[in-house]
Amino acid sequence: MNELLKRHLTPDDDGRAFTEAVLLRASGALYRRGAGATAGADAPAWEWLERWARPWVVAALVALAGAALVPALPRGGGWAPAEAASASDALLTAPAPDLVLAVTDGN
Amino acid sequence: MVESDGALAARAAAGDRDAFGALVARHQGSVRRVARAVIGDEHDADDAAQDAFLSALDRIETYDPSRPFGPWLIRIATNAAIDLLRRRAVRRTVALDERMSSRDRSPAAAAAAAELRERMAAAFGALPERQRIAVTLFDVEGYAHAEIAEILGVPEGTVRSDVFHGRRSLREALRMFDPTLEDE
Repeated sequence: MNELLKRHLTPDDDGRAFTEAVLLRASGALYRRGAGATAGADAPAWEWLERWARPWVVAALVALAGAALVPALPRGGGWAPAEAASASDALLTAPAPDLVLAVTDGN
Repeated sequence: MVESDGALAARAAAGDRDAFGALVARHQGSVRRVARAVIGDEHDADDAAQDAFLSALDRIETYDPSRPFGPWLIRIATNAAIDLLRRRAVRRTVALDERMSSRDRSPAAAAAAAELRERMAAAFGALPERQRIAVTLFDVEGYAHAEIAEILGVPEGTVRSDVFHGRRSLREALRMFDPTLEDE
């Protein structure tokens, strides 16, 4: 019975025409795959960049750069006025402002 | 040395036409038989078999080379055939195969063989779809119950039941015609 069933289901040809028909229909996909494989082999040096240059990586780098810069700005901008204010206060509250001024003038 | 399916698949994935052609030539018989088991009509079955190979190429990266290629492909072929059957509402044919009537037989023997074949085709076509697939994979392609269960995505017990009932139906249909089938 198995042999009879197999004979019933087995095509009456050697399969060459079928194989050629499949290859014809697959020619576009095979070409694209071949082109993709060739392109990949031509530019291996950039693969790491394609693999790692994802948006989250770029965003993380920008965030790190921002974190490094932002704390420096208040420190640099806020130092001078505070220093100036403390110097002028020292002059005004000094026990002998004339002496201080004289020393300053002398310099 | 014969190149393994896995090696051919890897080359086909890179667009190697010869490798893909070798895979098709190697597996076209089983894929076409399964498609015929599902669909019946040989032309529609070959369309489905072609679709199956194209689909396999399309998703060949999903093939695990450490596992056999055949079951992976047969699963795709089965789904492709079922899809085509659903889409086209294919009319099953039980055409008499002309080969049987022309091979060195007397007219009476040729007629008897043709009738046996016609009965087989009719009985097989009358089986439920899953039974046809299960019987084909088990009796014709030689897959184990567990493999068929994986291919069809059903429990192994279901496959055993399908094979048992399918074979019994076929035997009963052919027994009156050929009593020797009782011993199989």
